[in-house]
Amino acid sequence: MKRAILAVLSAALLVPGCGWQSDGAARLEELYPSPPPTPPPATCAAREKQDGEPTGRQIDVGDASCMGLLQGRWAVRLVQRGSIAPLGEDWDFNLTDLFIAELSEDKSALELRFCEQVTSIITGSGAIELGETRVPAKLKKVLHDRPVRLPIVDGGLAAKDVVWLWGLGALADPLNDPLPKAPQKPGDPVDSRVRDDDGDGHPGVTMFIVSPEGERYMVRRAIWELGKSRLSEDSVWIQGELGFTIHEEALDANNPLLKMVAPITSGEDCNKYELRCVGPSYGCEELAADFLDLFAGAPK
Amino acid sequence: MTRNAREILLLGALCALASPAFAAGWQDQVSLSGAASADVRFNVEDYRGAAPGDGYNFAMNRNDLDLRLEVTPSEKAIAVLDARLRYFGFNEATRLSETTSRDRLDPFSVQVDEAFVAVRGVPHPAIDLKIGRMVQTWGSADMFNPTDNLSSRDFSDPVDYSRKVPNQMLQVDVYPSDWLTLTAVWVPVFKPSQLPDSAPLGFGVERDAAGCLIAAPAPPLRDRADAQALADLFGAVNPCALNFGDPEVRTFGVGRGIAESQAALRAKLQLGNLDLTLSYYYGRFGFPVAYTAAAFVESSQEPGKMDVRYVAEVTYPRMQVAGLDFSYNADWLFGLGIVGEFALIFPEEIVFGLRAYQGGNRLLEMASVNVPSEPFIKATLGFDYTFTSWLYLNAMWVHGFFDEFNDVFGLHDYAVVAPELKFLKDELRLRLSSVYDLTDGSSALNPTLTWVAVPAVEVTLGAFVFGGSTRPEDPLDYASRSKFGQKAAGRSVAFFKTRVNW
Repeated sequence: MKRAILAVLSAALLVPGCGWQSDGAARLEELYPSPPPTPPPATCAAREKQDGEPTGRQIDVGDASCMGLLQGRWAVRLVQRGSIAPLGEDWDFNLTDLFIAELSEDKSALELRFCEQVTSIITGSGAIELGETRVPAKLKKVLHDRPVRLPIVDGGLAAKDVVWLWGLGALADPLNDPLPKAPQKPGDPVDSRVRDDDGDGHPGVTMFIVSPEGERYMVRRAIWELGKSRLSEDSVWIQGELGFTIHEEALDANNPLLKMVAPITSGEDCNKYELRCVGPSYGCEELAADFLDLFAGAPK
Repeated sequence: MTRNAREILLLGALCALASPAFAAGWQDQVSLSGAASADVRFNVEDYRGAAPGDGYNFAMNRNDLDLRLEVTPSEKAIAVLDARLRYFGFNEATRLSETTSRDRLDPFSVQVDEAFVAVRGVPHPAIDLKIGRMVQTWGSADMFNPTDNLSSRDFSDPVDYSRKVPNQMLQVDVYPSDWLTLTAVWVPVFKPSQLPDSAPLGFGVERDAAGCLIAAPAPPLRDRADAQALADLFGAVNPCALNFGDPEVRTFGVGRGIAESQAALRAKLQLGNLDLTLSYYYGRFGFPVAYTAAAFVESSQEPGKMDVRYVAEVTYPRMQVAGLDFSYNADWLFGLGIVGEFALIFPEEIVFGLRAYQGGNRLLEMASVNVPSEPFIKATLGFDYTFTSWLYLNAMWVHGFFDEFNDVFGLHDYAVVAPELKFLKDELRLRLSSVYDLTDGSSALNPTLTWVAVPAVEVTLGAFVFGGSTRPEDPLDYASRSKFGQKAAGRSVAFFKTRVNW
């Protein structure tokens, strides 16, 4: 009998744990199955759908009258597509800047007055609000009143190193200077290059973040490269390829986690600028409401 | 027939069987014993409850009637029924309509601890059989028995920590010689331990008076970067903007197949002053370990707020246990009693999985080994000694508490000390039981003063007090929770008991 017991105990010792395993990750997959992986958008058209679907309605742009870049008023969108990784995994990042543009007084440049910025972030399983931004009205007005100049060359657009700064005064080298960072400890002075553009008492400009909800006080630099423009035969559309780089630094926030900024990586494809001739009464409000339908008719 | 009605009938039958009239012809074959007790407890703090400020109130107001009936219809057979009628003493009626129900005003339950039949010398003179509902207690040490895994613990009453959850089982004892006893037990269906009311606080979040989130328990993640990423996800949000609901914790993984049965073998050797036992157990660990967790963040109907729903699962890991325990009475050392118990545990590997979703999108997915597959040891080593007729001491070192299973929390070391002083010809007993966690410095103290007012009547005044921080040292570290300090351990109480035995 003693031998039998010892044999049983020995056998037990030889099969440690029987190779048992319970895998919580597999169990979660059983409970909450992952949707089939969404392949990355193969075409720019598919990527464009991430911005939302146009409703198909006709847009009244007023009494539009343009003659190349010699006269007229334009609704402008800059489509910038890239990626962002706030939690380590790359997600699609779409950013559309909307402007109303008119010729400068000397007709040497097109002056873009900011209307709206629309962002969307798309994970493997769909759009999310995490990291999505909204431009507060105060900042919109400041950016609107300080137009971005695009030089007109040979009757068209083609420009390198167009710099658009938010919350920043003079930079010695606006293209390459590292952006000012947040003071290391409370009470330290803010970098002298930082400007309270929107005059709200917070350094730099104030951006509203949808999720995690809060305000980020920041500086921003966008650098654009506009490829040679193409004018449509009817003189209604001007289009071209766009290259972009965006740098952002958080100086402070009213939510501790917003003090960090996830860098935006610019994509190689699908970035473009588009100008649509509009009437003199067509403004920012209309553009912000209509832009999906307005630009749906652009030549492909 | 309602459950309560069935329970009352059962207890009535027990009383009827025990009544003198029924027992008239059975006097030699029936014995009835029992106890009646009253137990009133008071929370002596206000910081260990679910919400700060909850305390200095009654924690218990209980009355028990225990009845034990033993019937011996023949020399070779015995049937035992041990039941308890328990009145909880707190009104549970929350609606006016419920105040018409005595069950709600004065809730009670009937519990059956034992209901078995034992037969001696069948089918062989050296074999005993026992079948039915019972409780097994294996091991040589006092209370802290790592080789004792067949019957799960009943910690529903933290002060009465010796109780167990009864279960249906078959036991065979074989006596090949007068120095060797072999025991085999088969438990068809596993039953887990009963946890104290405070257990869900181990998963609870803490809020301040304004309802803003203060702290959430760390999940069992071994990689600190994972814990940090999770904390950042929720730390990013204004804590007052989170409607964090109470976590929903489910148990998972225990089926009713034959492979889910528990079985154990034991060889008990009596070698002079040494009692030596070898044992083997196949089954599950009676306490749950964390298995999965999923957090769902959704926009709330309240503007500017987010609803957070937290669904977790715990499981009871499978295991095999090779055990050795002994007790030795050292006559050559003033009669010192020495006990030792060692369990080599071969566990099921448990991988903890965690996900976080926002608006249906998966934000995070993590997996971390909670219980590694490597064997580990739980052990108890101690002694007891009667110094004088009025002073007795029992002291032990314990490696691995009842509920510890080498998960991310680890195995702590404990010092258990229980001196007992007797006065007035044993009429007055002062027992100062205490457990100190040598790993994290927390403690549980259980002093009791018992007065035997008249033979069979005891009056006890005592306390059960937890020491240690209710908050973990490091909010990201699952292992930095204090064993007895954490709220899940229970409330600190003072109690007054009276008990009469017959």
